[in-house]
Amino acid sequence: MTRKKKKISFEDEMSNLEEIVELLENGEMELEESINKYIEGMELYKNCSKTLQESRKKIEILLNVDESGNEITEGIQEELY
Amino acid sequence: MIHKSKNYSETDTKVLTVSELTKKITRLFSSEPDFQDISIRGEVSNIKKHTSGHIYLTLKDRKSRINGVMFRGNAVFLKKIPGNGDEIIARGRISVYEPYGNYQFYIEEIKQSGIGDLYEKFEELKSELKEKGYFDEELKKPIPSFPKRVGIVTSLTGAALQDILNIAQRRFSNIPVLIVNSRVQGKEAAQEIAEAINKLNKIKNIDVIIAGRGGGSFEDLFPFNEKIVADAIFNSSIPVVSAVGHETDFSISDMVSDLRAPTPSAAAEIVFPEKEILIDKLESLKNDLTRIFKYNFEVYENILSSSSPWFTTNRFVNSLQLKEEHLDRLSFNLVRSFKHLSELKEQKLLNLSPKKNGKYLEHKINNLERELSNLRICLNKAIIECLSKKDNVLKLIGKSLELLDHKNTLKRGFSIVRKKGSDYPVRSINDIVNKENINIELFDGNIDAEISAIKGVKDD
Repeated sequence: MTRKKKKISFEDEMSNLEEIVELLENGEMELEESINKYIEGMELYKNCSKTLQESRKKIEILLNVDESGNEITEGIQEELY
Repeated sequence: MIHKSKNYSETDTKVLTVSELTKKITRLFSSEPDFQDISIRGEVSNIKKHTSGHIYLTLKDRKSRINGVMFRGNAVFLKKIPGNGDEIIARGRISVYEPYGNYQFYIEEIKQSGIGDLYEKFEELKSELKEKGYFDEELKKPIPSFPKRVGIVTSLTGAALQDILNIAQRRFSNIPVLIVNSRVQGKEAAQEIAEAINKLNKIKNIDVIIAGRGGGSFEDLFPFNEKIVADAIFNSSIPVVSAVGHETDFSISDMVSDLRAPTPSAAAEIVFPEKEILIDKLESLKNDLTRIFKYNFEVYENILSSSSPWFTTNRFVNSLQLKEEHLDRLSFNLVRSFKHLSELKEQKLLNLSPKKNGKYLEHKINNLERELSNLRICLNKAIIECLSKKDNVLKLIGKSLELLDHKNTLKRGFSIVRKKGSDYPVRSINDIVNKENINIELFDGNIDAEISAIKGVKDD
């Protein structure tokens, strides 16, 4: 993979959440730590849920890309959808 | 001689006429389903167009040949009559020409002329790329389960795009799509497909590319068998799902790509996740999280509310106790010293005994008093710290109580098992023994039960 990691992806958030659930399940954790983990998990849940609900529906046609990776696009006519 | 064998002919074996045999053979041919609609590739020879409009030819390869006929009714649709030496794919049925007792190929459609070269080219490129490792499984990139943005390389006017967008709409309309228009058949197509894939690779937020087209003839699909397209897919840092033609079409693109989808619709089903399934998974993770946390939290709550020595096992509290002991001892010393001093003072008053001793004791008392007050401060600080820690824990518990709704979890079909009379949930089969009485808490009540068997989860 040559791509660098930018923002944490949905997959990463999901698997972090899975990890936390596992950790809480197995770990004999201090209360404070487990509360922190719980809050972290709920945070991840909210993010994932937001991503899923986010309305980002956008269909575009790529016309060109310049050297620095900027795209020139146009929206698609509704009837194509 | 012939007369002598009369009994042989009529009784032992049935004798057929030639036509009867030929009929039998014809029936045999027509009972073979594969012969009723079959495509045959071969080289044309002896082609003749009869004045009746029928075309007669022989199809051959290096080892065999078959006679073929294309009746006028089908032949009129031919754009071009193939020439001797042309490679064609002809579709039709195999049957028997009874007057001659020949089996032959009744051609209904001639698919392509000159296609033989393409097949050769395909096979050559396939083995070349295989050699170079273009198809290696370990080089295949995983397809993201939830792409942020999907790139599509296909023709804007093709059916494939419609299919993909329809499915995207149905399964997960939220995911943005970027289409790169490209011809998908004809001479320019391969170049355009490759360029489109390269272009998408310059854009930063594309997670996966679908490249493909709908069904067509082998020649139509050929751009997806060109090296330039194979290179573009192979060099793409974005995973590529190839979706070329129908289920039965296998292209070079399919083999180089990170994942082959049998059709464009299937590609869309792979790439666009089903929103409902993701939501379900997420919700169940959240419920697990809450349930487990609630359990952990209850354990703490029990510890806090019972007389369990949580605070005394704390190392900090141990040190506090040591200090207290020290303080006790010092207080005792202090009191004793006071007593001593006052005794001395009494003595002094009585008999004006040595000043020296009194000074010394006074000094000692002052020291002890200072130490005592220091210790008091320490102790107070420690107690405050300890209390605020406890307070903190209580606050956290209060907070988690707000976060939790344990009854809701029960409503979803979970239940809590406790030993009878115990507040602690049974966590493991090791916590209970057979015949033990348990209590099961459900959302709307409790069940008392007795264990009749305990089984562990098998490891295999």
